[in-house]
Amino acid sequence: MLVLLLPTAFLLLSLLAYQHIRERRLSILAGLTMTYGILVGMTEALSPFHAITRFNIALIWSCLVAVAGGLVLLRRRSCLLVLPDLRCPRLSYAE
Amino acid sequence: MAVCAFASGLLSPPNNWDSMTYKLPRIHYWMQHRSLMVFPAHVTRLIELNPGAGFTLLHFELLSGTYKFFYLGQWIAAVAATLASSLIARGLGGNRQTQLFAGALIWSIPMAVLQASSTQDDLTAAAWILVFIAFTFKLLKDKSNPSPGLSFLTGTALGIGLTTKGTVDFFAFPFCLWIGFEALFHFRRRWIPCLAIISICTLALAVPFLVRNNSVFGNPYGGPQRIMITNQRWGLDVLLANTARNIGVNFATSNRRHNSKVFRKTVDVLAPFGITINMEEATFP
Repeated sequence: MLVLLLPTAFLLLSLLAYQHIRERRLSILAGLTMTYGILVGMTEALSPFHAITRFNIALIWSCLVAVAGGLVLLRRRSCLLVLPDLRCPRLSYAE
Repeated sequence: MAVCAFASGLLSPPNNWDSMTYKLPRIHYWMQHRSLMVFPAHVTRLIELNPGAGFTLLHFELLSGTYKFFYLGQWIAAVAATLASSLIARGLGGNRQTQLFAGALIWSIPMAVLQASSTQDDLTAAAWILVFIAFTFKLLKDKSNPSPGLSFLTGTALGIGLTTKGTVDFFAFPFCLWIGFEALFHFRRRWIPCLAIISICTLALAVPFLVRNNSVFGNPYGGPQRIMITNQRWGLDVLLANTARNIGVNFATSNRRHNSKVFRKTVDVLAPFGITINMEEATFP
């Protein structure tokens, strides 16, 4: 259950990036970069306070998933437009 | 290839030398101490070599409670390298076929395939260099109107790369110069916040480890291990010896007879220059 936090955060951050970049592969890399960036930055930031524990890590990732999910949902435009765009154009109804 | 590497990683526990001697043990030290601060270590590689890839594995272990997902760090890096290489091919003017070929080329590199299911960090470092270059291409596409968002991603990719492996700075440096020159020649006020964002993101991620190293070894790039794995002197003969030996290593197979032929050939190539294959100043013991 807990390990789902990382892929979920990556997915949501990729979706957020897609709203701005509008390119699939670049958005995946952007999602990955942000996930890893948060991961490295968060580990370094927690370390001086002797706080690298399972609980703290899970708490921060849960918050991130909630915030990223909220941002994706709040942007109604993206929810309505991004998801159809993610389909392969060859399979779309319009084609 | 990606599916095979995924299955291989899932079925086999980590088992290579570097992972067993320092890449994985230090993760458990961090967990035990709840901190990244240096700890007393007989094997100094545990504390002086870049920890970026280990941070990912630390999160995998803390969140899942098992080592079984460790290999995903490198496997994801292989997929990211595939995507990034195809984007770089496009940045260089390649068509769809060229992009597919560039992506497929990643999975034709024996070391990349082997590492995709391992817990090393070389593939991760290579992937971050490629991601950094892909973002650089995108950032410099519109030189007169750089994007702060892309600057953030470019700096973050470089910062994570520098945290992952010490060799990343060498490969990333020319691209940093490229960004600098383009910013200078197409200077607009908009470049100032973008360059600041790139620098801050890079330094914020890379500097803490360098500070820790400096506090222990008096050198941000490490201590005994760094000295041991770098050339003791530079010169044309050292360059020739290392080039010949590296080429030879890439021709090695599991066939002992073939390997000894490659070895003899390498010795023969270096002999006319008076270079011995075991040149001490350029050989890791």
